[in-house]
Amino acid sequence: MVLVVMASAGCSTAPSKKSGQPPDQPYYERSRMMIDDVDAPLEISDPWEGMNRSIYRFNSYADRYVLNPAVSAYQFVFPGFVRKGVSNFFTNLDNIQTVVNEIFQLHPVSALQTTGRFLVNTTVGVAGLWDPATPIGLPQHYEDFGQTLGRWGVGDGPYLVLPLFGPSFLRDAGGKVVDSEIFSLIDPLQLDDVNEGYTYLYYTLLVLNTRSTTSFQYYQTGSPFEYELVRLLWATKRKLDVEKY
Amino acid sequence: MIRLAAVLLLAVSAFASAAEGYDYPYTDPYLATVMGTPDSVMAKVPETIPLKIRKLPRYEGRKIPDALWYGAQLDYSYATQKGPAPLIFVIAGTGAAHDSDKNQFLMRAFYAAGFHVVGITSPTYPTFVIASSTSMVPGEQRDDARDIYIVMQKIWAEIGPKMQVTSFNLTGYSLGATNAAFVSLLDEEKKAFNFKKVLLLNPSVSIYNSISKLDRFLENIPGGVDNFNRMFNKIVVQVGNAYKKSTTVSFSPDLVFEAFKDNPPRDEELAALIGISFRLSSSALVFTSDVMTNYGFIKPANLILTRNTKMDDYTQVSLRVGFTDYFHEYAWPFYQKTTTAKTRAEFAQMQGLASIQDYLISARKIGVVDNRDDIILVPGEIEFLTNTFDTRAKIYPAGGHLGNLKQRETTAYIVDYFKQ
Repeated sequence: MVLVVMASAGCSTAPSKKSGQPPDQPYYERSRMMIDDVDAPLEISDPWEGMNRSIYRFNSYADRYVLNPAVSAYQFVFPGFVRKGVSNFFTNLDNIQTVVNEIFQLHPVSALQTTGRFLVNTTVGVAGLWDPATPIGLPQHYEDFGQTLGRWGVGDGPYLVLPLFGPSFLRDAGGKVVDSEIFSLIDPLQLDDVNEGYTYLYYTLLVLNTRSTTSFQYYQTGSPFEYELVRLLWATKRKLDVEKY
Repeated sequence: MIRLAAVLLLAVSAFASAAEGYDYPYTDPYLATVMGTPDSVMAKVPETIPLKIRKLPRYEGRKIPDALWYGAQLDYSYATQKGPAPLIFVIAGTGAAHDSDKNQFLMRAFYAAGFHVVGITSPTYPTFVIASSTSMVPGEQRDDARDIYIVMQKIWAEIGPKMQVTSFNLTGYSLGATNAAFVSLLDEEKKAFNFKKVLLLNPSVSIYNSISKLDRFLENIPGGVDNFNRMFNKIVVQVGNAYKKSTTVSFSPDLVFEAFKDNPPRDEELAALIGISFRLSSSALVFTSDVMTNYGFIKPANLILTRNTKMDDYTQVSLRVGFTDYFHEYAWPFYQKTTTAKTRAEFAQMQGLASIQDYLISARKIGVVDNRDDIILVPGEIEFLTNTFDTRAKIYPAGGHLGNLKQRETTAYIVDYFKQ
């Protein structure tokens, strides 16, 4: 799929010149506007920018033609409290991944808090559909293997826009793979053993829930620099995620 | 002597009771602008209304550059009542879209009060420039008003059959309010809507004065001019933190303000913060206009950008170009050939409410709501508003620029204005 997108879109990041002449000097030319030795913001390593931009665009089409209509249908069919239950269920499941990573990061207090949340919500909260852990004061953490790697000194790696998942970095994309392997190993829902129907239901709800709880929409910022600004915001956000604690 | 004392006493007590009745906590106008209205004094409006979003048809004959492929059609939003009701158009402010945070708030308040509502994108929003602007160089008030009017007519042609409308009304905030004044003037001539009432919310009285002020905020960044980068980074960190849970997605000033609500910066930095937040809007609009017109302002004139072109340099440069640079080096040269103004100063004066003062004085249907300490106004402009609009001007003692928009009394006044 990615290769098809790449091939059809063409990935050169260089502009095409109008008439084979060297470009004119614009009125506000970069070299006179910017001092080179001062750290400029927005400089994130993005060696695969052409491909990333194509995937970003592909994601916007996937949103427009598949995911957004699906989410609208989801919101139309299921009332708010049902969708809240689904959201709680998946947030609770994420706690498993969070605990594993908190242990890897050597944060015993957080690990205990998250374990507590998981136990309370799974039992009293009936399989995580309700969230009694929040009112009793257990904080909600979120950790993934990408953050674990970051904590242990692995740099972000180049910026990577994942098909459907959106902005990421090479380290974090790899981290996702590890997290999903761990999830399969632990297999809390015993998806290996049950009827395939349940597996499809699980993944469908996972996708619908994830998309409907994320407010971001592609190309709604109104800025021609959306790609750069999203990249910068995402990089900042991940840096903050890793630094937290 | 006693009469004088009595008059003074009355005046003082009137002022005191007005100040007491108006419940708004921030006396610093910069803080007010960033912090907005605290929940405790916010007007109660419904959380959702049945808002629909539609796209207008493509602008006939317009070539959309490849790099701006996503902006080929302009969006608008609307919500209808069952049965006959008055309709109100709400024009968004600088760099904001039809469904900006403030537009949504206003639409909800009006919808709850029984109006049909239509949200209009600002002509300074990039998609408007690409898809609906005739000149593709926003800022000329009469041209922008013409374009907005055409957009309104197109919207009405699409949704009119679905609703029963008893009257048309118009409002807008910030630059959108200035737009509304010029649109109302145009309506007197074209008569497509015959607006019953028009209310200007915190308008820019002179576009040139407002943009000069906004650009000046960035001249005094604590630590000097190189600290633009440091300040920008600081903002990015804060916004990055808040971005995921933000309700607004567009990079309008509101997005930046929302990110700082829990942790507002020190006084000296507040002005810089406001200045930079408007820079996000100006960078988008200047670059978009440049690409559409191939002027050669930031992008070399003979270069065609593709959808995959690296834009880092353009981003950096655009963030450092202010509205006044745009005015002097781009808009004025562009309009010089076609405007009736003979000098640059005259052209600047035309982009202000003073150039249509006679109309504003005589049009009883137009009112204004503003704050004495509005940061986009220069000394003398509040007096201009009170002189021009007389009893139709409601000036609050504090609120900065739109800081008190969502405050209970302000919202009530705004909605009631249209109900009388």
